[in-house]
Formats: sequence, C-alpha cells, structure tokens
Amino acid sequence: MTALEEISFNIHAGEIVGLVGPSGSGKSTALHVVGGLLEPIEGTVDVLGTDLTELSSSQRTRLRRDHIGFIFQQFHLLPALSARDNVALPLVERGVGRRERQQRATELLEQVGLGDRLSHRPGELSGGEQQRVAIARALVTDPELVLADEPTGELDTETGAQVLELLVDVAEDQTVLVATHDERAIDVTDRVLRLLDGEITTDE
Amino acid sequence: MAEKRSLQSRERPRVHRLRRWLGLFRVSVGRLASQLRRLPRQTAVTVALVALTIALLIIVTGISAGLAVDSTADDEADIRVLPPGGGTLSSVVDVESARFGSVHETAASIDQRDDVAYATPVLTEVIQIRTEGSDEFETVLAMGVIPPEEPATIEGVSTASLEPGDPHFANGTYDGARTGEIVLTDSAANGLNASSGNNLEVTSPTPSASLRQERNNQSRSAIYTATTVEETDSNDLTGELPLVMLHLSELQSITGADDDDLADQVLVETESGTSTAAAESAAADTYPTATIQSGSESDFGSIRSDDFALATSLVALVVAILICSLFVATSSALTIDRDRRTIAVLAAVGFSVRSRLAIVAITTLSLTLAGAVAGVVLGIVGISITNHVATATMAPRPIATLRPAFVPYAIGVALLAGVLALPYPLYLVARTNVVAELGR
Repeated sequence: MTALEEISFNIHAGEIVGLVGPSGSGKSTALHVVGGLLEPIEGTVDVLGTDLTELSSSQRTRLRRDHIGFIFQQFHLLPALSARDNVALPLVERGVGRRERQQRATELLEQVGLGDRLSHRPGELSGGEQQRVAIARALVTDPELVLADEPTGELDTETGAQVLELLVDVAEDQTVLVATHDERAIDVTDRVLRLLDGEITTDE
Repeated sequence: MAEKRSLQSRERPRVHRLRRWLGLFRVSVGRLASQLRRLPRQTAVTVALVALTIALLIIVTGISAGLAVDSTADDEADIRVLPPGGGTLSSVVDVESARFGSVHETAASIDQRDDVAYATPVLTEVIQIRTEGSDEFETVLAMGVIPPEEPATIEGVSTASLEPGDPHFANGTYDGARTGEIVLTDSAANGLNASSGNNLEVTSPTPSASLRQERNNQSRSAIYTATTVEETDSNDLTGELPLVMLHLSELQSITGADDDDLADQVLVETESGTSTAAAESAAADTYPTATIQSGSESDFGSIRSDDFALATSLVALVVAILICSLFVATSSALTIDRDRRTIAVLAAVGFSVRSRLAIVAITTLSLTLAGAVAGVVLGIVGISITNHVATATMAPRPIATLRPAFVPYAIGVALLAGVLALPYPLYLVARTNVVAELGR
C-alpha cells in the first residue's frame, strides 16, 4: 500500500502550514517523512538544507534532536515523569545540565500557562494541559521546525482551539507544519495544503 | 538564543557526555519507579525471584565454605613441623625419637606473625591416670598443647574447654599456677569410667620422671579435673586410642620433658584466606632441619572435601547466573513489550539508539541490583536459619559460615546475570517500530 505518491511541497522559514485532509489521506505519513521517522522509497526530502534520504538513521535522529520538535495527537508524555521533567526530556540527550534543563522547562511551562503544574504527572493533568506540556516539550530545544500531528484530535472543540492558538503564539519564531482534519485549524495557519489519498490536491 | 547555542557548542565534550549520562540515569530511575507503580506485582516477582536465587547462592556457598572450614578444622593445622625422624605419635612408636627443644619460645615467635592464626607445640606422652578414689591406673596417651585464644581442634580434640595459654610455664620457671584442666576423649572417659567434672589423678609411668618429681619434693601425682568429654571421630588417627589433652607445661612437668621444654611437633594454622607459604618459610627458618608438612600433604581427605565444597559452590554459581539471567531477561522483555511507546517517544524526541539501549540497560540492572540486595539480606537470614536447624537436629556445630566477601560476591553474580540478560531486551528495543508505536 502506498501512503504518499508524487507529493511535493515547499515550506518557507517561519510559515505556519496546515496539512489538512480526511483520515487515511497521508497527513501523518507526510509528517513522519519530514521528521525523519520514515524514509521514502523514492524522491528527496530536504529539511533545513539537508536531504534526509542521504542521512543514516542515527543522523536523522540527531537532526530531530537538534532542529525538530514533535507534537502528537495522544500527547505521548512519559507517565513516569513530572510535567517539568517531560518538557526537559529532549535536553537530556543534548547533554544540558539538570539545573539548566529545569530552568528552561519551567520557563516553557510558564509560557504555556502551566507554571503551577510543574511537578504534576501526566495522569494528574487534563487533556488540554497534557497537550500544552507536549507543546512546551516540542519547543524546549528551540527547534527551527515544529511538526504537530493532529494536536487537537483528543481535545474538545474549545480546548482544541485554545491549544492551536497557544501553539501559534509560542512558536512565533518557528516553522510549523500541522497535520489535521480539523477545518478550524485553517484559521490559524498561513497556508493550507489539502491532501487526499496520498496526493496534494490544493495549495491555498 | 544563538549566543546560548554557541556557548553550548564550546562546552567540553566530556562534561557534555557526563551530563547526558547523568540525565539518562535519572530517566532510567524514573522509569523504574513508574514500573513499580504501574506493575507492582510483576516488579515484585522479578525482584523476589532474583533475591531468592541470590539467597540460595549465599546459603549454598556458606555451606560449602563451612565444609571447607570443617575439613581444615579436622586437619587441625595448615602446617605440621616435625623434627627429623620424628612423627605424630613418636612417643608411642619410639620413645627415643628426636624432639624439639625450647618449644614455647619458638612457637611464640611463629605465633606472633600476622598471617598465623595460632602456633602450638604438641607433646605426646604416655601417662597413667585414674579417677580419684579408684585403685587402678589406666594408661592413656596424653597430648600437651598451648590452647590458642580462639578454640582449635588438635588431633580431633577441641581446646575450647581449656584455658588459653600455658600459665604453668611461667617463662620457663615452671612454677606458674597449674590449671588442673584435662580434656578426655570418649574412649579415655569410658576406660576410666569418668565424666565431665570428675577429679582425676595423673602420674607418669616412667620411673625417671617419678624419681625426678620426688627429688624436687613434688608429689608423684597431680590432681586434674575433667573439663569435658570430647566425642572423637573413630576414623581419626587418634580415635581408637584413649587420649587426653592438657596444657603443655603441665604434661612436661609430669613426664620430665620440662628440662629442655620439649615437644614432638609444632602445629601452625594460618589466617583464613592467606597462603601457607610465608608461615612455612618462617617455620623452616626456625627449624632448618625439620620436616615441614603443609595441610595439603598431610590429609587427602581435606583435598577431597575442599574440592567438593568448591564444586558445590561452582554449581550454585552457574545455576544462580542462569536462573537470574532468565528471570531478568523475561521480566525485562515483558516490561519493554508494554513500554514500546515510551521507547518510540524517546526516538521521536531525538534520543539515539545508544541512549535508548542505555536507559533499558540501567533500568534492568537497577532491578537486578535491588533483587541482589534483598537476596543478600535473605541469604544472611537463611544461613542463620540453616545453622539453627542443623545444630538443633543433627550437626554438633554450625554447618554454614558467613563471610563479608559473600556480599560483593553475590551482588557481582547478580549484576553479571543482569548483563547476560541484557541482549534480549536490548534486541527488542532496537527492533521497536517507532512510527507504528506512535500511531497506536
């Protein structure tokens, strides 16, 4: 089964782009390819001036560590860690000291309005709060590119809208690619790519 | 922000690596704590099984060490120093055989060495003995020794009931207080119809010794009290002979061997775990013409016993490593199966394969370590229970020994088992399909 075929798009630095389409249209696959989690069978994937198809798996992991932040539909926070430790997690691999990790994570959590939830574990947070923690985690390394896969998929309408607003606000210096089937996401994006059956049908 | 990055890039790589490893360690500990909360039963079962295996290893090793100690105890001494032409029972076989002189002084000089547990001269003489009030003397073999501070077994007879040292010797004046203590073996006690606490009259059958005692205005006989009746192993060399044990100088005084402070041999026991080579060399320096037998030469039984103990502990070691590895590998694999999403998230946020493997390895080894520590505690309790049960039912003394070295040994074995268990869980981590797990 082919998830994506003959797909080609460019995103400029600082743009917020929506990848919109129904379930199964290939949005998540496109996001995983851009994030270096999947390798295309054919073609090239140029991210920040680097062709990912030329990189080994470990080089793509390093690129993710240094330049890309991920936000997932199911938040994917580690249940064992507090909100602050979850946010600080990507800094561990970068060899940042504990004090600096905590300071940076605290700043980010305050930015997303969770300054009073630092020591809470994911199980003690609401869905909207968990997604805000996930946004803070994606931004803690100050990446150039943020990839959000259905960030409002698990949230109610109002919370989803708030989370999208927050993402756009705090990621003002980043390039953001949001995969969603939520048509309201269009309101916060600079550009929308519509996907259907693995092909881009509209670039508006 | 650019300034911050440039600062980071200037940091020394070693500090960077250290911080990363400390961070990974913290994440691993957090993961372990979470595992304890989410899967308390599975975690407890793993720790308990590792603990049980390690405890059994400690108990079996303790019993093996006990067997080894026993074999050494039965062998009485690591080194036996004999005069040229002398022998263990020379006084019986040949009264004219060579003896050592000034044995108190020379034995003391060997005894003072750090690697020597004790050194005692042994004089064996035939004496006559009877219970107080009895008409008939019995002829028995008497063994004169200097009882060490820590009770020892000499020719199958324990010195535990004799006062340590040799007070009657009094620096060679032989006018110190007599202890009046004598240990009877069961065969001697049966012949005398005596038991512990009975008074016994002891005298020398040699006319010259009796005449000498009369010349010195000493009584021909001395009164002793049986401190205990020792059950001796009938397989021992001395088991078939009526044998008694008393302080060396007191036996020398009775038999006339006090003129030159004589003894038939000197026994040397080295400290546990030390080589006998240094003590052998010291004995050779003291007695250049003497025959020196080490324990291994004098008793094949001890080799057999030691080999048996070694084999038992080796089997326990191999079984413990195998069982521990299997438990830990199975438990760790089950945990990873439930934790694949966490591993996928780590990959997505930029954790390298090496870091992901390290987190799983640290978690697994920490779990093993927890089991090992619990196992050591359990093992120590197990040895106490084993000894209690053994002494209460069949053994005359504790059968298992506990040594401080058991603790690092057991923990080392558990960690080795943990390391051997790692390949399977690490293989599962490396094979985790990140995209599939994130999309689940």
